[in-house]
Amino acid sequence: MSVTPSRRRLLQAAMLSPALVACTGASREPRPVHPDVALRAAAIARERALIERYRAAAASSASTVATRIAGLAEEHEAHLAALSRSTPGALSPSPTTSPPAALIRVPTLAQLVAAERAAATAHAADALKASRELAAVLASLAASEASHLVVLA
Amino acid sequence: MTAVDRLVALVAAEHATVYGYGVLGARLDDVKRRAAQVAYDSHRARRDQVVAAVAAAGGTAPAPLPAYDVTVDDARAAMELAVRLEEGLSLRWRDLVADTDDVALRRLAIAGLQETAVRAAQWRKTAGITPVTVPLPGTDPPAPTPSPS
Repeated sequence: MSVTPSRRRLLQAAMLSPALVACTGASREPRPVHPDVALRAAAIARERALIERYRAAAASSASTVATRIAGLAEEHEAHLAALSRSTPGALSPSPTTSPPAALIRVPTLAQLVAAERAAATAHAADALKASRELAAVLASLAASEASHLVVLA
Repeated sequence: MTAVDRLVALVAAEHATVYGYGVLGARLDDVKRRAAQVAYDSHRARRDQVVAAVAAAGGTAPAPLPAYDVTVDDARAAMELAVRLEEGLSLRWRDLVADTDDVALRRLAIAGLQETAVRAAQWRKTAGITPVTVPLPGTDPPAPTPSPS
């Protein structure tokens, strides 16, 4: 039995080898991701969670309360837009990760306060780790969430 | 601008704000004057922190000017001035965040931005100004801070 590879097999091997190298190379060395991508994704998730809470609260609140918190929900929408403008080209986390508003329990005012406070703390902490551009956005978001407590008080 | 430039600008703005609170407080009733006094004390403390940061960075902090062009006719004008002073500082704190990689300076700037945004909201709420908050504190064009007279 001959062990010499045929010409066809050599050609096939030559054609496959770059792909094999690329595959094994990719699995050993994952492509580095800029730290801002994860920080930005986390901030977007926080903002989306707050928006869902406000929507749930507004749907079941008296009109005066609903009007008050509707303005805050709009500001969280503005935060999402600001995060989309920063770090252009980065993929946005899917909005489907949030449960539908109907499935969210209606938060109390105290729970909204706690959620805003937690978001302010998280944004501020992440602003310490982010690039300058994203840090400035996160710092504004942290300040905004903190100022929302004045409205909710 | 460098971080030191931002710090120097912050010292100048805090000097003007401390002066402004000293003037506007006289137009407020007892309850609001107490809030103005708390803000005044807080700004003095922040100013001293920033002066120390300038010195640590090898810079020279500016001294306060003898007087600033501040006119406050009544309580409403006093609260509107307080909002403008806080908004002006919000812009400067955010600028510092955007111009430094130093964690300690960033932490100071974020705290300053949060404080001024909250205080601006408190004054808007007290004065009946709506909306009480702004979506992105430190980015909206602030009204001019008091200029040297």
